[in-house]
Amino acid sequence: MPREVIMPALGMAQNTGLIVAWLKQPGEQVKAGDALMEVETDKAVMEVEAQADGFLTDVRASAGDTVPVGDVVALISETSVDPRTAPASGVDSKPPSLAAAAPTTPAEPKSNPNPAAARAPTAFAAPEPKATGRRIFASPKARRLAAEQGLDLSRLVAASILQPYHASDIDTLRALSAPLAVVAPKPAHASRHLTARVRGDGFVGFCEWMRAETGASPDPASVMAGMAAAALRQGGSDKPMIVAAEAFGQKRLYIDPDRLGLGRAKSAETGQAATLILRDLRATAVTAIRMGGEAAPVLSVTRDGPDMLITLECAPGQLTPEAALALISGFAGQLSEPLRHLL
Amino acid sequence: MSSAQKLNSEDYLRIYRQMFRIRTFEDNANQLYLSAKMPGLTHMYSGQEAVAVGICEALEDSDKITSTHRGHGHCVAKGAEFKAMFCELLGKADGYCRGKGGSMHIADQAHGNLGANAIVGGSAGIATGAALSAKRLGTKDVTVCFFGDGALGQGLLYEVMNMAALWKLPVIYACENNLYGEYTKVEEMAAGALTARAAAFGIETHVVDGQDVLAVNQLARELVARARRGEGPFFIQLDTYRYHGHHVGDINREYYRSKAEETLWKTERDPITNFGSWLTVEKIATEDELKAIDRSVRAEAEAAVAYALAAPYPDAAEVRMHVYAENAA
Amino acid sequence: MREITLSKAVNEAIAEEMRRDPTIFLLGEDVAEAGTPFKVLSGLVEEFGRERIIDTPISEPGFMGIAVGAAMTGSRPIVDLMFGDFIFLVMDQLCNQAAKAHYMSGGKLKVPLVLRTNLGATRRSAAQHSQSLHALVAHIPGLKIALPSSAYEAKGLMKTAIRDDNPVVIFEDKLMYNDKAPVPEEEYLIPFGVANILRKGSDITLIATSSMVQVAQKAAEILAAEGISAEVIDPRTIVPLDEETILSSVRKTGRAIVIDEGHQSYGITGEIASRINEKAFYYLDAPVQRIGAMDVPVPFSPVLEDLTVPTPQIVAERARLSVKGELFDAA
Repeated sequence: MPREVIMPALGMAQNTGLIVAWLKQPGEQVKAGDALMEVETDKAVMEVEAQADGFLTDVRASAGDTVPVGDVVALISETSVDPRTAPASGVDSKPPSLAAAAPTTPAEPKSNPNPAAARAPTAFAAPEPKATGRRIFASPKARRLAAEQGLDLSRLVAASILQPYHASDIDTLRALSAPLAVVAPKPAHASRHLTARVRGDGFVGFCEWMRAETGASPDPASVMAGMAAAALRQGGSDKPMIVAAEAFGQKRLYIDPDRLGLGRAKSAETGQAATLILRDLRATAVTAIRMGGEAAPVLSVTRDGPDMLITLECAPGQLTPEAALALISGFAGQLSEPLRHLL
Repeated sequence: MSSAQKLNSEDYLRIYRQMFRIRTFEDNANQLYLSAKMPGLTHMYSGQEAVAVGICEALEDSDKITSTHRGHGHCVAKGAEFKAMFCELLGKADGYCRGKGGSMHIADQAHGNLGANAIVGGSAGIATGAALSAKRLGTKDVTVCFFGDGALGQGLLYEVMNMAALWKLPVIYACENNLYGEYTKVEEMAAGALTARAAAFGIETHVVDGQDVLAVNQLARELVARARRGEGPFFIQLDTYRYHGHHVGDINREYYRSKAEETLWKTERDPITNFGSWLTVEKIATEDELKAIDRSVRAEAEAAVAYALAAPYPDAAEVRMHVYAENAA
Repeated sequence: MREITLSKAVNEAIAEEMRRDPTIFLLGEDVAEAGTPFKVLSGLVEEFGRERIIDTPISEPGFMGIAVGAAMTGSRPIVDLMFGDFIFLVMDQLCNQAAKAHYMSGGKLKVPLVLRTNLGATRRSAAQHSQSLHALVAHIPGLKIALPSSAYEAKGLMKTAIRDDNPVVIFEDKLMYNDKAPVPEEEYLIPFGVANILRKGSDITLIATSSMVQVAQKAAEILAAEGISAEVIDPRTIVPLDEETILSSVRKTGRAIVIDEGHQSYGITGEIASRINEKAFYYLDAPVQRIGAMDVPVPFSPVLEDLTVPTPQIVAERARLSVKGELFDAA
């Protein structure tokens, strides 16, 4: 049975060896211990000895070749002419990839990290101070409480309250924010109220078209949120937009739903303040809406017979008349001819 | 096994076979390294077979040994199987240590092998402690502590020999003097006589030709029996030689050891060849019978290597296992 | 309930276990008639004999190694290391051999031993007899580390350590041997990995080890008088560490200080503070504080030595700043 002559590992960090010269010829008889070839490593030129008696055959590498360690370079066979091909050099079990084996987090299974911590903060947009643009120093707990309650830490800065802010400052912040957060029962004529009618139900047909085209089932709420955001963005704002979409008793927050492609909107962090509230009331019997301003402009979509009615309400300070008109027409336009606006 | 008992031909053939098994194992391990199939390094025992076999053949299965970084010989001699050993060297799940110890930490607890040790002299304490346990618990086990001449540089060895002598522990300190500690001659590393160290503690010492398996075995049987009777500890210096370098990568070693010296030991002092000759001269075995043993051992090794190469690695989940032992309660 | 000293509690634990299990024995320097220089083991050799209470030569690596081998072969040794500072001498046998044997053998070899030693400064014993080195060994996988903070803890933890099949290092505070605490007559064990909440509070969590528990308790009293409510937690064992109790507390209070007598840098306080940071970050209303021994070798002169260890005043001041939000450093 032929014995393999391999390029040996001759040093601790050596991956290949250069054959300087063969000291035996193919077909020549060799004895165990005879020098077969000279191999150069980074350290020196060394002789490689035969490990068995026999004849040198199947020489596969020549002087001047660089051969990886472990490769078979020849055979020592029982006869000088061995027509057999070399046997397979054995199962090459590779150690499992260490990257796959290593656990990815050091956390113990039973610990319960705050979900906010686990998400990569790519889309997170805490309300940044508009006034100075400088960093606000606040403890993690204070930031979390402020975000959860939709409060803006920059109000504390504006009120000249010294940093850093702690949880105990949130009560102060809430008091400072009260006028805006409270849904003030203003007289109806003080808030803006616009309505639009969209003939037919192009929106439902559009959702079905999307399903057929893409094979996915886009969430209608996020599609609609995307349209609303796109309409609002036509006003020229590049800021992140948080759309609070309410439908079927569920409230969802989307961030920039117009930017990722319709129906693929990303959810925003809970506790963030909404830029725009969208109420999809098509499943209800409600037709007309007049509820006054809220914390953000509200777009309501209701059904009136075969048509859809869009209502936009907002406080005067939230949208200028031009912006309000642009928003409701843009939104209505998309709902009536979604494909046209898509293209 | 009392010292007076003579060995029969079955014993002799087993001794021969065990030595040949060690040599064959090492040849295969060396090949696995050279062909880049074995991770890490290993340390060849080839040339020292008579020491491990001569001593371990005098021990019961429950007697304990501790081993060194050059531990394959002790492991085989104490009853280990090829498959589980090759698997361990390749880091496979079926290895003696589930692949977690490797060559330098190979242990076979079921046969009393408390493990190879990567720290030079590191197992001297463990061996002495095993002897203390045996004495306290009345198990009558004897422990053999294998170590090399290099370990005589470690303070731990002297501390535990002192305590073994004070407490009369059933332990035999077996110093395999292969003339070199890594790349340095023993004369440059150990001042004075090697046995004088143990003698200083009042420990009875012996010197024996480590290449003569019968001489080693006879001495071992006598000392083991006496240790079992409570007459220990003992210190044996066994003069021997390692054929390969300090580790498998130590190939270019003319700078510290001449080829002429190596050749001399290999040709004139080889323990297996010489014992084989003795067996045939004494007509205990024929040349053909010995060759048959050789062939069967080689076949056993070849099969075990193939098995080990094909065997699976441990599952990734095992990396965190065995840091702590599970408590019974 | 009767009150006994920490010394007596340790003695009782060892004696009770040795009566229960004949494979247990103890070795170390001056442990037999002398009962150790701290007299903790007095009486044991009279009851158990010199075969089980073994005086060794001054050979720490040697008898540590012997304990490892004995533990692997059916015995359950207790190693008495006279001063925690000597742990440097036994590191190879403890960390390379004992800690790793179970793992390296793929689960086959076990090393059920206890290394009993001490920590704590202010005894005027200078740099090489005053160190608190538990962080060094806590770093090594395969060891368990217990830090009893009172006589009650000492007895319960020692019994658990002796019954554990793994190598356990117990550090007693050498300044506490004469301190009394209520200790039940009936047998009890304290499990590893279960922290003890000594005092409930709502404004800040103080996590303290060993004798620093008493320091934290005193600090809590000072703070209570000022209207600050501190919760005091004793982890009891740092390996395994009861994270959940600590994290629950910090999520409640929002503030934490970790107090330990090891050096301030690269120690226990850093580890626990880090875990709080990883897992309770969004509940923190103040940075987690660390108070350890000063990063200096322990000085001999009493005036200097006393400056190097955490005190109730230091802890209280840090807690005050924490609660008032005055730990801010924008630079």
